[in-house]
Amino acid sequence: MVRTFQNPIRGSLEILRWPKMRVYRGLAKSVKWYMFLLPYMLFYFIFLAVPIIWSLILSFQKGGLLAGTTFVGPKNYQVVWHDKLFITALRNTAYYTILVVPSAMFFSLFLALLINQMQRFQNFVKVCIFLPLLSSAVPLAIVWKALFIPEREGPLNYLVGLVGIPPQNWLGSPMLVIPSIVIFEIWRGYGFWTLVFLGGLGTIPQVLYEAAEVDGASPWESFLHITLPLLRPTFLFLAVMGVIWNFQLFDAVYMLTYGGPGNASYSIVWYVYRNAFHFEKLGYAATMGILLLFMILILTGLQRKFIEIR
Amino acid sequence: MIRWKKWILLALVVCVGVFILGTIANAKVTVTLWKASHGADPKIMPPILKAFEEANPDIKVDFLSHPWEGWDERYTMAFVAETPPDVSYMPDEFWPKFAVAGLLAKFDELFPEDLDVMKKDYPDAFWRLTKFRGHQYGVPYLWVAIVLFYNEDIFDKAGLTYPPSDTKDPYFPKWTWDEFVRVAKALTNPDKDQWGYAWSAAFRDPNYLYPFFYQAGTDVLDIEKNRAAFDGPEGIKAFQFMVDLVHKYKVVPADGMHPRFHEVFYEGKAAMGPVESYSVVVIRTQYPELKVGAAFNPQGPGVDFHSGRGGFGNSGYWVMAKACENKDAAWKLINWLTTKENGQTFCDGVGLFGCRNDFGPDPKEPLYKVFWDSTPFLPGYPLHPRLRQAHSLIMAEAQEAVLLEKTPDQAIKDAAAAVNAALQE
Repeated sequence: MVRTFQNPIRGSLEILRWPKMRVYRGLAKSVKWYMFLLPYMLFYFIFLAVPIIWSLILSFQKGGLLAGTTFVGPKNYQVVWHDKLFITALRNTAYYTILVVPSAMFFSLFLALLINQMQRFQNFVKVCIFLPLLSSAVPLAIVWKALFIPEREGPLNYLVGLVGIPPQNWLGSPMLVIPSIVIFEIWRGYGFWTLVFLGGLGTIPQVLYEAAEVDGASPWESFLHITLPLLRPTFLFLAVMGVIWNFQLFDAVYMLTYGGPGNASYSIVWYVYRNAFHFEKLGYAATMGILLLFMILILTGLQRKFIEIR
Repeated sequence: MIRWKKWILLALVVCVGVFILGTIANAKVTVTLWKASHGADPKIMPPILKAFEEANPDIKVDFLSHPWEGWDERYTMAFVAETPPDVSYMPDEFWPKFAVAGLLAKFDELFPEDLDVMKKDYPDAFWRLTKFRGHQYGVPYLWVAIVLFYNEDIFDKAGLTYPPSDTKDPYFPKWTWDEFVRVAKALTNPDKDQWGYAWSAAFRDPNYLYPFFYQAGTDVLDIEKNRAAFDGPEGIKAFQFMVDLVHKYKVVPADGMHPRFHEVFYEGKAAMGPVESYSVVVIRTQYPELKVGAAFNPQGPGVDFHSGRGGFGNSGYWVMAKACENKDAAWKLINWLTTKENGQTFCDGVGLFGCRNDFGPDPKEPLYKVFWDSTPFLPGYPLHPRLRQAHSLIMAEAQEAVLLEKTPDQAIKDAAAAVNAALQE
């Protein structure tokens, strides 16, 4: 018997009761949730997926934004591994990431542990440490350029002079330029890392520390056997995100060093930018971008495996 | 029921009619104008443009003054998106790549008669730089130079003669690289943080490097052969002199890699330093107690190339986008901007020099005279779409040489190889 409905929506849903339409019932029920996701999915598609696909297509081309591109097949992928500057940029980026991620983690964890012990002004301190992250990178770079000046009276040189170290040319020395960028980037981002660690510390049940204390464990043993293992998800998150973010080093190079001295602070993304906008080599820049994407994916996978196994 | 629909329809018709009439009444042509700011542009340009609009009531100018940072990205994306500015200011090292891509209007095809008249107002040196591969793309507007400035107090305390600021000065023919080094050494005292020459290789542009090439007797690029010109003994001499200033004579601060070497001079810690024409305003306003003089560059061994006293100089041009829809209106604007009166107003306001024959240094500022007098010694940039890539390749090798990571010989060879590879692409 056919039932009729004045309400068309109810009528449509009624159709789904028919045995042949049963398979679509799940989808229909979920439609409204997909509709909520649609704006984000559109945004993701337009601003993430399409550029990545387009970059992949461009990586098989030669030429630039202004004069246009021509198809050259995999030639860019062959040439790039013989490009000394690309290898230098890769080495610099790896070196910088190896320095910055563990240093930032160590410093931020230390700070988080300190803040966690604070009885008063905890929120005020949290706001203060988060402020550099909220500031624009440009004024921060101007300030740090002044801190890094190589004269004896430069602020940083004054501080190191107190412990007997002679004045250093922080941004002008190939040996010191990347550690200087590390210092800048840790100072800029430690607020976020510290807050994430604070969040992680907050999830550790207090009762575990109390039980450990009862069993005679020292604070160091509690830290080693309770805090660190239970912070593993936080470490994994920060390690993965840290590598992803810092492998894309660009701001500090652009504002502090312009890739110098020599090519000592040339990063991959900086080289990509220079090729795309200054050298009219968009295809080549896209090739390096795609290679960077795969490198980050591989490193992320390895990190997850390594940290999860441990 | 029907009545309200009638009223809505009537209201719609009235709105559309008003809109159409308004559009017809305001049928002005809009010309977009972009210029990277030389400091006082937001203050100086609007009155010039307002006067243009009053003289041309059917033309409206939409002016954008923007910072130099991000210049490439801004203009590249504007041209690629087919929304370029109708008229823009482009220095000589920037515009050839747009011309090669066919994105700039060819003035020799659009306004040949006007160019024949205009040409008489400009020296050949600037007019020549408006042409690329047989077509004219720009109208000269501004030029910039770097000459040697000296700190009068430091020279007075040491009892030394100021470097020459007049070609008739008896000291002028004796002002050579050797004499420059002698004076710089005499005025260097690292213990008192005083340096003979405020210079650094840690600079993103080669403005402070290329004069060594010129004074040694070579240019940067050989445009006809499309290759590096500096890979001979002259280029090696240039790099060697640069390295010697840092490591042999030790007259330069921070081992030649100071990130803010201008401030070393402005703060009175250096006897001499290279200073741009537009920095005179900075010195006068921010460092009024600094007593300075301007002098010619010392003569290097390359006496056959601009008398061995070559210095940095480059120029900027008004160009028009090929996609400009109102080329006649845009051309009128370019003509307006490059009149003597408007050009001089702008130049005096920002401390730059105009390219026209009838321009002269601002008599109120005596330091400008040396810049003008040094124009015979300025080779200017070679026009090439890959010039900026060549800059960064040469700068990187210069820095490696100053850091003693390579010998000057090796650095020149590597720089030339990299530049030649880039130019052939």
